[in-house]
Amino acid sequence: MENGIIRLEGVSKKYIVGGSDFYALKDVNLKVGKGEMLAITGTSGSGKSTLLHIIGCLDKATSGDCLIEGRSVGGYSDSELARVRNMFFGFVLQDFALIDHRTALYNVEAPMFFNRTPAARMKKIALAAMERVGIADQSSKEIVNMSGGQKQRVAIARAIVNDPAVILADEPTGNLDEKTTNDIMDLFCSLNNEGKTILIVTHDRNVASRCKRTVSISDGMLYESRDKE
Amino acid sequence: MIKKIVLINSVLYHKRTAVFLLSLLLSISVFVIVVFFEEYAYLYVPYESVAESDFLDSVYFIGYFDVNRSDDYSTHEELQDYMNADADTVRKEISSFAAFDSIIEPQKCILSLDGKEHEAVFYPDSFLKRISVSTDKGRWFDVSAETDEAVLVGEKWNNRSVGDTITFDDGSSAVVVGLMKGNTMVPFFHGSVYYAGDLFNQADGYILLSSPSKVFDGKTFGERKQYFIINYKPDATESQKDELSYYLNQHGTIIDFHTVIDNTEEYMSNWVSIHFPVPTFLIAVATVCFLSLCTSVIHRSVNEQAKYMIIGCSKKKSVLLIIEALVISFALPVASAFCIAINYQTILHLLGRPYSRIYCCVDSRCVIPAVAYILFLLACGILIPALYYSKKSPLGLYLKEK
Repeated sequence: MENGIIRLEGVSKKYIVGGSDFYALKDVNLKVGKGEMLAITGTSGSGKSTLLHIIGCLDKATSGDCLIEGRSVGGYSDSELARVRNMFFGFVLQDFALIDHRTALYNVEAPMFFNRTPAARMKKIALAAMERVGIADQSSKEIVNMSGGQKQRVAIARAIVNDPAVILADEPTGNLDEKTTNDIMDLFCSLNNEGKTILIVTHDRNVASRCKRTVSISDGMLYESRDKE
Repeated sequence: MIKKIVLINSVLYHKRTAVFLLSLLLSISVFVIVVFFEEYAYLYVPYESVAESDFLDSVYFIGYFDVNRSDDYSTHEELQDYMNADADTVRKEISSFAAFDSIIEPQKCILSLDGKEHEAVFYPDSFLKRISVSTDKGRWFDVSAETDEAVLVGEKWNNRSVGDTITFDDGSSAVVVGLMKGNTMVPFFHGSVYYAGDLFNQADGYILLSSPSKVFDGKTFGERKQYFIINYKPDATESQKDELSYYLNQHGTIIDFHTVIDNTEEYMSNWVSIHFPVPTFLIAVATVCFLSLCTSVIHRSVNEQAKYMIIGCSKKKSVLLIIEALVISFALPVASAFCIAINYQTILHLLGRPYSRIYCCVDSRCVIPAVAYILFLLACGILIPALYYSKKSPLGLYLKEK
């Protein structure tokens, strides 16, 4: 695993709740190697989403260090963090985080609005990503008119459109039925086989079981659960 | 650029009808406020010139029309002849009064330039020494200048510049020292005077010149008018002035410039009280709507901006996007309305309707309130999103909600 593509060193996240300190994460250390498929499990409110947000540069740790490809992001500016989110990570969230009244194509193109991809090439790249997740025929459909499974495929297409090294998924199957969950997990496995590093936050044991490695989190503390071959 | 347009459209997407209607309302408001101040300037510019003039020891005389003798004259020309003869008598007789100093009356004539005839007004030096008028380019006359000077009024002189020498067909010439827009108010006596505006008129296409000058020499002037300014001697006593006033009142009516200024102030005050409420109401309504729509656009786009931030938009880019959306959607139509308003007269001129809007005066100061209002809108369009983002981050709100 060497130094890992993602490394957390003594990361804590503190919130002030009702005037007293509440630690969502306590001294978390984690290494994620390139090409890994890692499940982060835990009960609701255990801090797993907070951990994913800190890894994905959506939130900042109160203390400790988060290193992406060996570089600490603690001192990064807002613009630099945005660039990391845009180019290094792809996000798949439980609520999909899609722009509802826009088409699937617009949503998949959206990450390219914030980098140097030429506008003329955006559609072609987005359609290729949609093709990859099997939803190219739905490109002109508005998100509001799509099923949960279709929305999550759009979200995955959006996550891979900039060809990021890491895909961060926060309860990606939380709103989906069993069959669709399996389809989406197949897709994640397939992307992992292509070399993408995948981190999935889930409380679903079946989803976690399909990942090569699982860590669990409880009361903000991280525990190594198991390391599959 | 295409990406930016798409994102700006995305910010306004949910409020596009409201944004369109408000842009229209703001544009109309700015147009109305510019027009209001242009019409106010029609009153104010003459008032300012008179108030700052050196005529406060002078009176304006208007020849008396004896209604009892009107039946003696069968035509208007005969009546005019009678009145002019009477005014000429006044001109001769008042020189014997101790308080009398001089008569001031601009002279009108036709001048030929490049084979075309143009109306011209000559202002005597005694007049020019006492009053100054703002020009759009260059300056008003300098009586101490050694060369003959001209000020050109109206769009037909657009091909002339300050510093050009215009040579009339009789060989005389004058240097252009100032240029004025067609509907600028210039001193122009044309009858009875109640307020300052009566001493001014729009002289679109006129050539204004000073006298004496080589251009003035030997010209034939129109009929002498029965109204002119009479200057009292600076050292005249009140009784001497009263004596002259008494004589003038026997032959016509006089009005002193203090009264003209008082009348103008009263007239302007009445005018403002009648005309001010509409633009004020429009601006107030438009401003309240603008502020609430700004806030509404930000609130509405917070969720969407958070999603953009997840996929790589920085907080700075996000706030700039909202600012650009607000500025482009509101400031641009408003600025366009402003440009149309200040060039309204020129546009009407180009459309072949130069005289359809005469009771206005485009003075550079008319635009200051409108410019200030546009800057206020711009500041709100920038500050409201900036303040919102300084306190809250869309991404932070989104994650907290989740």
